[in-house]
Amino acid sequence: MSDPDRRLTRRDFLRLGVLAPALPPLLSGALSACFKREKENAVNFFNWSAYIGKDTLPAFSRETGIKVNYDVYADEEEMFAKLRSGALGYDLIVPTDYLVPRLKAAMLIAPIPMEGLKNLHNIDKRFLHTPFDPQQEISVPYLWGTTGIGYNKKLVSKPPTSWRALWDEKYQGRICVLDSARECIGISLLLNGCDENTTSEKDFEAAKALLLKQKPLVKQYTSTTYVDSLVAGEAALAMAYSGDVLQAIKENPHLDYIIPQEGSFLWMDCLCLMRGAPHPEQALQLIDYLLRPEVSADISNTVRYGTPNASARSQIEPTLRHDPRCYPPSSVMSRLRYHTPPDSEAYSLWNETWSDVKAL
Amino acid sequence: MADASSSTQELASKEPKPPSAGPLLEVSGIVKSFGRTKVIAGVSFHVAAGEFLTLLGPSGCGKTTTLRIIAGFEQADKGRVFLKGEDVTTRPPYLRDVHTVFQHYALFPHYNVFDNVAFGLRIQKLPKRQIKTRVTEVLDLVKLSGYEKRRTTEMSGGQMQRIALARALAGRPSLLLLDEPLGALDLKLRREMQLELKAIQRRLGIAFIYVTHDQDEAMAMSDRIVVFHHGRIEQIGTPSEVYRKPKTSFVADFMGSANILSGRLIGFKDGCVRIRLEDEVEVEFPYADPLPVAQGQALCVAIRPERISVRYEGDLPLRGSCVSLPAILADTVSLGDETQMFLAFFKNSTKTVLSATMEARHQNERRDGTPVWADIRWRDILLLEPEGE
Amino acid sequence: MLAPASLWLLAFLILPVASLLILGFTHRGAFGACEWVFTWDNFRRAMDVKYLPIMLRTVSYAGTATLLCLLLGYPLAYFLSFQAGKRRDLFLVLLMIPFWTSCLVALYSWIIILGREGLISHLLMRLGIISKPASFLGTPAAVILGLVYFYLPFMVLPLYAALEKIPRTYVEAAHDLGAGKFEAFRKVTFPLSMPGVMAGVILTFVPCMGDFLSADFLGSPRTYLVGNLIQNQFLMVQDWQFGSALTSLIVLFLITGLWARHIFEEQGVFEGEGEE
Repeated sequence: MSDPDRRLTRRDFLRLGVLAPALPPLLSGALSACFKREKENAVNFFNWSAYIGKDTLPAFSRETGIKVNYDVYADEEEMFAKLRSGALGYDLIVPTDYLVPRLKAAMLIAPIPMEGLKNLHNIDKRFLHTPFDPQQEISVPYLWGTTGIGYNKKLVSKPPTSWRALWDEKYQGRICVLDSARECIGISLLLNGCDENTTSEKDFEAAKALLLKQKPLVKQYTSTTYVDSLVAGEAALAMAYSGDVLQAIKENPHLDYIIPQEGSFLWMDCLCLMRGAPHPEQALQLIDYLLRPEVSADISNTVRYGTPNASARSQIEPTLRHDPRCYPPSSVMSRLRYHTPPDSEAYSLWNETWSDVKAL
Repeated sequence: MADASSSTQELASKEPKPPSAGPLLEVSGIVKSFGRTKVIAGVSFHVAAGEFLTLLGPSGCGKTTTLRIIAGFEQADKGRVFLKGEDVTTRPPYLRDVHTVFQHYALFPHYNVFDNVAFGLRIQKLPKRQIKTRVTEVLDLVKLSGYEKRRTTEMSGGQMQRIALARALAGRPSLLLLDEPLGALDLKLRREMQLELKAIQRRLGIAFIYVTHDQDEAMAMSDRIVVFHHGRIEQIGTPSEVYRKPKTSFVADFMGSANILSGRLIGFKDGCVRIRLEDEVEVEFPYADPLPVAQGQALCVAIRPERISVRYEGDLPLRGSCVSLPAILADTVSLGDETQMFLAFFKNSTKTVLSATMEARHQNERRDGTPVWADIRWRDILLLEPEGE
Repeated sequence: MLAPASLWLLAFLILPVASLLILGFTHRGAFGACEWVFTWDNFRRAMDVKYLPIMLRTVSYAGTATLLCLLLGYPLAYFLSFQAGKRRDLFLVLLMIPFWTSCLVALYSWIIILGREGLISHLLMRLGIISKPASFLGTPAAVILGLVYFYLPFMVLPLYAALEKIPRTYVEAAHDLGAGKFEAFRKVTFPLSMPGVMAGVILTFVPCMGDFLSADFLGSPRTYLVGNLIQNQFLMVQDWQFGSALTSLIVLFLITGLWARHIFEEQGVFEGEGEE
């Protein structure tokens, strides 16, 4: 324990108190997990929903004989809350870049023995030693994407080019915005010309004011249902993640996705090994398997997010490989950056600001 | 007490007398079935203004359903109900000038005594002052003055009964329906309430239709009794009529008790009937009333136990005209100041046992099995139609 | 039998609420970790005037939904109380169907029904009331509809239980004394069903106050409720202390309401005609 003072972590507290009513099921779950752990040749994988190839895991099981217990989440803050409150027994999780230092600080993830990964060399050097894991000791890149604007071509007069489109009163009630402090405050700060590292209350007040100006136009703050809304024509524009829209475009060619001219964020979802993972060996095997070019390419083809796997590039469907919406040209890439992993103070500021935007 | 009687007089005098032509209520040819069960199979009777009429019968005989049809809670399948000459057969209960005292009182638990009694008056939208006067009057009448603010749920059965009565009387109906109103009270309280109810009825001059299964109650209170059995009326008459001259063996047995013997009318000459009892003994005696059956047909012979005089060997026979039957004393049961004696009369009929009641002091210590004589006056022998169906 | 009941209360009510209360008074450390330092900060934040509009909105939505549940549920419960045997069982089962389906499935079907291409839009177009497809999603009405849909059974069941218990003879007695159908209902049936009304109102209002799914799925950013704010604290921004303080305030508000009702009831405010 790096923090051995009298402070009790919330996780400990919760196990004792708040979740007391839920204890019996948790206990029995944990107990059965304990017994399984001893015997099972398995790996417990906690991933984003719809974030893997159709046959990826079955093929892995067939090849190695390792069973994959697969759980999914739709919101990683929720996932984080779950892990903190003591949902144990996972081996492998897929947090986004900014969350990695926080998971590390909360001692929820463990260093990955990189020397055991013989496919790690496939990863594009651009995606290694990133700000959120400079030593490249605790995360392995899985898929990356960008934040931009998804829109329904039938419902907009001309394709948006700027974030300002999401403030356009023409589209009142037909704009979806991601329910994410990171993206919304990040873009607000960007539009206001503020540095993301700012801790100035004034900057946050300005960001809040900008978002509150947008609020009357917003149909919904949602990270999960905006694609449905775009497809159904309920929304014309949506702050969106690239792959979500690109997946929908396969079936609905009237949708499109752009990265606004002001620039935006790219993010990396990483494979992380849980501290105290019950099956570290098998988890490592799975990570290495996911780093294989053909596996990584298949996943990217399915979910339409970019793979950081350089060797996989040739096996990406040509249309996707040359799609600037998935793999932007370097001119666009230069306008993209990672979110700065916030420290605790900044984290509170971001969250309180976003919480207030929604509540006021 | 002076207050009570004066207010009662006021109550009675304010009520306009119904037109004297025709009965207050007439029920004619009522038939009612629930599903496949016929509960009432053609019932007709009438009630005169100010009359105390009792519907009497065992449970399930249709008397309560008849009352509910009069109140309007049930609709008859056939037949009509006339109130003061008007056909009210299809009128809803709230448009009929009759009020009901329910078996379990049905006092509104969310109202206090005053509000319960004032309920109907408020519906009539009487002025507040008048409501207050009337409620005070009727509460006086049922001796519950001062209980206005009490919760009905805190009161005893007898008190609840009085409130139910007061509530029904407050609207001054011309006809009050009472459905076994004393059924839930203990015997002593019941006797008291019977007298009181009768007194109130007399004082107010309101007609009562009173449903009960207790024949003593019916005898004690009624002007006339309607005896129900299996959804039909067996007999209508004054208490003494139904007691002394029952028309059917059911009435004979239900009104007090009776020994019912089977018999056959084998002769009728010069005002004398000749009857063969239980295919064994023949008796002959004068009979003045009309005969229920033709000669040669089966009939029922009813004899009330208290009308049988038991005589031991050597005792003097009953003076006057009577039939004497030899019997064996089979059993005696002491009922306090009375003794019930079971007599076996007939050789080949073990089941036919006559019971006689006599005061305890006439009872010597006779062993069971002693031969005795049973003397029955001619006029105490009732000839009835045979039990049909 | 007191001991098991007390244990049950302790485990399922007092412990969680007490934990929330305690958590609400602790200091939030790095990334939402819990520091055992006493502070009023969370409650001070929760009582900030800026949250007044959202509180008022929540109370008004929950109140409207409860009222609608009562208006819809009462006739339904009244009707049910006259049914018997298999027919009644069938109706009760139909009433419970919303509980069988996952609430997410139900919410999605409402999204479809209320949407631009949805049933209601089509119907109104067919009837000529609107000329082009309209969406009813994102309106306060949609959120309240969601609340009514989910919590109607909570209203109907206690109402049904109360109505079914009223002996028919009370209504007959009222008719007998001259009260027509409406008056008999107003003066007898309805007052006697008040315990059911109260239970239904409480059972509906309380969960409506904490609901966030309806606003999340059927609402817009302008229909955000306290439930969403609290859910946001716990699941998204990792501010459990603030969330606990908010929750404690809501619980306090509801307990105060119930307590006030109890006092009024003791004083007989809800009783009788009040004419004398």
